[in-house]
Amino acid sequence: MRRFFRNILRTIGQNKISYIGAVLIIAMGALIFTGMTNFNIIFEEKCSEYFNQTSFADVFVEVTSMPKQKVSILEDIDGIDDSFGRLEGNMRLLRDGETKVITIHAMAYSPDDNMNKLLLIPEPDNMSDTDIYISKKMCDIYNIQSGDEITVIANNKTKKLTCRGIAYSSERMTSTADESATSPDSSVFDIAAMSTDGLEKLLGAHGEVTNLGIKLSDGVAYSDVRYSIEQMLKPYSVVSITERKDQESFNGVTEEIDMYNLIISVIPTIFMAVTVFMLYIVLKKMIDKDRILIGTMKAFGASNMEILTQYMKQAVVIGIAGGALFLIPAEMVGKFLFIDDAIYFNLPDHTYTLHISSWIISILISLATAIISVYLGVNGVMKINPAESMRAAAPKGGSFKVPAVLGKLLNTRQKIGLTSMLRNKGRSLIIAVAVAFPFSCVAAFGSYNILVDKMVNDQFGKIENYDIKVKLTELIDRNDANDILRNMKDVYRAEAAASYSTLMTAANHYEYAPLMVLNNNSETYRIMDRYGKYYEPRDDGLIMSHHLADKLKVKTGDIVKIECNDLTYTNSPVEVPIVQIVEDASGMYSFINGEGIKRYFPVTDKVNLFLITADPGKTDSIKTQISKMRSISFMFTQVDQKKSYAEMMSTVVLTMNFLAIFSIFAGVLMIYNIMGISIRERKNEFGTLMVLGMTKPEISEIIIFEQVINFCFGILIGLPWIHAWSRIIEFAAGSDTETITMQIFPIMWIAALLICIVSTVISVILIIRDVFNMELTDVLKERE
Amino acid sequence: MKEILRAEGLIKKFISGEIVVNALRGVDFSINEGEFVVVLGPSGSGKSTMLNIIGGIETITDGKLFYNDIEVHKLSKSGLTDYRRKYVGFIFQFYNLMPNLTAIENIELAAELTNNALDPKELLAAVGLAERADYFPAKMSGGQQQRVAIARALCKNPDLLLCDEPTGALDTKTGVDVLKLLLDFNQKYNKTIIVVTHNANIAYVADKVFYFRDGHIEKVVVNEKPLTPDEVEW
Repeated sequence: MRRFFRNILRTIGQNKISYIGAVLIIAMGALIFTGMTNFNIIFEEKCSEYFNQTSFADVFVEVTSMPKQKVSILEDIDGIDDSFGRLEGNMRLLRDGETKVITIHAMAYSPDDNMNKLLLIPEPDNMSDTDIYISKKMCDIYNIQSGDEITVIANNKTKKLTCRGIAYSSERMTSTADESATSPDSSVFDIAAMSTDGLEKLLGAHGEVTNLGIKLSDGVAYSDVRYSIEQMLKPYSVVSITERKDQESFNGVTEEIDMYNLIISVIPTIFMAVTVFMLYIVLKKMIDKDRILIGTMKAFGASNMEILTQYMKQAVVIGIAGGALFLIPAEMVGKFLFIDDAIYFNLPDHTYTLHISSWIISILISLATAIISVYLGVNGVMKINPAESMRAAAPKGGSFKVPAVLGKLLNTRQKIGLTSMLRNKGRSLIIAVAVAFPFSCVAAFGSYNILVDKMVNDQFGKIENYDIKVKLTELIDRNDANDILRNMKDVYRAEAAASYSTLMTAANHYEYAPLMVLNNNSETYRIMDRYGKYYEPRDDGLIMSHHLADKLKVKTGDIVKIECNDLTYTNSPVEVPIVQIVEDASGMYSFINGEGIKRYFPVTDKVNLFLITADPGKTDSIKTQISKMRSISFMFTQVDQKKSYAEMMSTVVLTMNFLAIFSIFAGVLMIYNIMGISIRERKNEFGTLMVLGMTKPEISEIIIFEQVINFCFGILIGLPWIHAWSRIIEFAAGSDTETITMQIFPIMWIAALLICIVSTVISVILIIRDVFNMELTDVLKERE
Repeated sequence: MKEILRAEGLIKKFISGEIVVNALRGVDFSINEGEFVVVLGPSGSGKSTMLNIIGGIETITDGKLFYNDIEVHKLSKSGLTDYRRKYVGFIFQFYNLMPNLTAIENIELAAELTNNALDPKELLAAVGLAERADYFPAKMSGGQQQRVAIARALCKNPDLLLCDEPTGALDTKTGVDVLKLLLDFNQKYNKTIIVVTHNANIAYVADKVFYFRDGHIEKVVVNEKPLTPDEVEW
């Protein structure tokens, strides 16, 4: 059978474009699958290693202040194995000429730390009191090098410190300033590490700790010890208690991994499935062309197994080639996504390791596809007897006749085209699918990028519509705040508001979430749902984000208990009704107005937020005025917030862009290959038409007419696909705090349509050229 | 009778890499209007190549071919298309019907290519397949398909009908039926028909017979009194 195999190889040689197309199509699917799978595996591995390496705690507690020697009393609670305390505190970094308010969250470091260890690079031999290690991002943004001297203000004193390197904390892989910040922004807030002695001196907090870590015994759940911890730590004013899964850093990483697990389990799988289907179609069609050859071999006495074996060799080559061809680019994609995420999450180890297992899976999927495709193709021919297989297969399309009304509108060529299409529905459907796939992918994945821009613009244009947001170190009287704002120069519009970090409880559910105190008829901070409807803050209860309501399992009319040191001095929770749940796009907020605060809480209406819109071109003037004020915690500019918010979404945006780009390549290949195969299998038909005297324009008209209809059909079936992709993206890219409402933007409709049109036009031109380049005499020698 | 086709020193070479195949080595002939010409010869003698050149689906390496006043050897690709469309009808050994068109649609397709087409339904009836009008080619026997192919070729009402082994894939009886159809068309409409075949018996019904060997016409035999198909012992 070696000669038979040689014939198969020569057939491949004669149809190399189709076969190369088949290999490239499956290779595209393998690329997306392998690249994204590896990215997620490695990201998960590195995060897990990081948490293990730093002895990540099971429970995290923030207290106002607590003597260090008291920390170990936690180990008296049944179910707690180990405890740890660390002093942490904010200090302001001063930079010459810098108008931003830059806050460093300093964390005490000791080589003997037994939990939530900080990683310092280079590892210090002997740390002096003035040595400081700063986060890599902040060092990069402000070009702070090892050995550079920096000036900080802490505890109202100015102090010179020397940067000795980079600090990493697994507790703060993303550093969000506080509840008033929308997203992490290292240009205004990030971590640093100092020796315990150094930080104690700087903050004037000798022997004190503010952040605790707790390790639970095996089999003990957080809920088993939570009450005991709260009771034991009550004298030290608990700010927050969080279990590992809800800890900001761990939760952020877990959500990212979960989101990618979902994206990877859905999108590349669908990609792979479509490419698998296309490979099947291509190979089956190519084998169908060997119908007579297979029949002849059977007539000569070759067994089914002998014939099948020869074609299986072809399948193995295509499968392995398809699975392996783009493994290197796949690794590049995986590495690119990993590095992007590793930077965002401040992972100390950016080493991208190869995962041969996903290579093997990719090759195996590709191989299995090729083998199944070839098997189905060959088996289909072998089922019929040799004599039958040497005759042309009957069209399966049935007896479609062009209706009389339509017949009058169409000319002969168009009728031929229409008849051919409708009597070969399978062929037409495949071409339509080849169009629908890139059309839907480009429209949906391409729109995500624009959607994120829109979300950013909605958040910082329609909801938070100010130039500068200032968080004060303490609550001040509203009238005093208004006086300060009135005395500021270059202010176009300004409002004072408040944000409180609270613990909200409803039945057995609790959540740490910000409570925003907003002004009615505000023009700087408004409540808006994702459909663009605005709501006014109320005095009779809370307006709550549906993300928070979902977590608390509450609905309108329910009561939540609120605990907050600044609002409930007695530490006894205050009950507040929920008057409205808002379907907003992002965040886990609840809102009330100043009157509402006075109505429900035993406090006066105080504020800790300035929301300022500058006169045109005067933002820097305002920043300068604010940076000179002492009682400022944070200052966020609209521009920086937009940038950091966009950075937060960047990995998903990158992923969607990759998918859109690869779907273009895959689409062009599919459209050309499938159309090409469909036309080439009709060479005899077109050859006969040419012999009959049909002109090039007439034959072109048949081909073009058919492909235009197929294209339109493809676009039509692409519409529900877009809907499906949109729901998948919403599901995959959404999170507990983000609701993605996909919409396809006009520009992407046009782009997707244009890409498909261009691909189709190029394909049709090449196919027509191919048809006219064929030797009529050769074609007519072939049996149908 | 008026001369319809004239060839002068036709040469056709097929070049594939370093291999040159001399398919026609200088062929001269003349065919008159209304003649039924049979071309005989062994495989590879060049008879099909000559038919393809006459039909305008193959180009000439050298020499001249005239169809009435048309210098076929000088025609461009589009000129050849126009020539085929207006003057030539083709019948192939393996029928080459449009697989997605029914019998009647295949004939109508040809009718729509010309202004003086014959009635497709009448032709289908004439080839004895009126009741098979809505059958697809794959559902028809070889003889039936060839009869549809003849009807399709005739429908264009060509002056020149070229048949490449028209009975080659058919049984004897069906082959005779097909031959009768061709002769009927030849006599009824005074159309010129050239049949390339291996079947030497067909030569008995021809007006003129070309014997091909090694790329040239070895001899030309003119039948003064051609037989009818029924008179030939098949």
